[in-house]
Amino acid sequence: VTVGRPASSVGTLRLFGITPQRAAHIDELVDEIVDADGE
Amino acid sequence: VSRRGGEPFAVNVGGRRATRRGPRSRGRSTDVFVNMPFDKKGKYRRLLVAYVAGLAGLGFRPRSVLEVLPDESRLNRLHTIIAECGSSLHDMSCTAAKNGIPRFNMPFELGMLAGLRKRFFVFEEKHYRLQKTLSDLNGHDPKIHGGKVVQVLAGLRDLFKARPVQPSLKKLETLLYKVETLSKRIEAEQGSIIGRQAFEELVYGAQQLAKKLDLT
Repeated sequence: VTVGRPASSVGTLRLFGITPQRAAHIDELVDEIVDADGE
Repeated sequence: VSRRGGEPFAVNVGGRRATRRGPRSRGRSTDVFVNMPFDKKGKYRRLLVAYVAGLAGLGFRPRSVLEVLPDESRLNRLHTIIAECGSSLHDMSCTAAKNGIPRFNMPFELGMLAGLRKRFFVFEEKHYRLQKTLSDLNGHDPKIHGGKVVQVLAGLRDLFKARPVQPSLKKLETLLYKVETLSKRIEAEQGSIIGRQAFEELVYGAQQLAKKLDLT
């Protein structure tokens, strides 16, 4: 599992210095924040 | 002006546009090295979140010396990160010595970028002060933020162009509000946003929030 922005033209995704588990957690926080504000 | 791939690009203050991979910027043009003071609370914490939110909202990826692990050769790693960036921004507003000791990291890192002839943009808090603190940059007009996050967003919006549509300042402010909320959640978990993991999670989260708000 990789996260982040496309890093090259071959379409690979650059892995940030965070684990996939942490990325999933941040995704959850992002959803909470968006939902809480009704966006 | 050709538009390639819908990717954002940076402009010089003078108006000349950066190409995605020009001869002077071999890094990814969407990676921006953010050179600024760090503190866990107060003004520079707020400004850091604003730089992260603004760049993410414009489709760019903030990079930082915070990514350098303590056990790595800081200078070597700095070279690597800077090489990966297409441009940089430098907040030169911290001129005060801490406990009587001045910090030279920021002008040093600005010098590294300038030496590599990478595109760089300077932010200052006060008008005309840069002419005194760093007269070598006379002729480069810094963006003046006055210590205000909205002025940081406005400055970033002037310098970095998103594609296909430049988000309004209001939209960037909305994003900043949410990124600020995220930063508090990360801070509650990790004690601070000043650290490698926290910074990278903040950047990742800001990019995800920008997508949710249809900014990128």
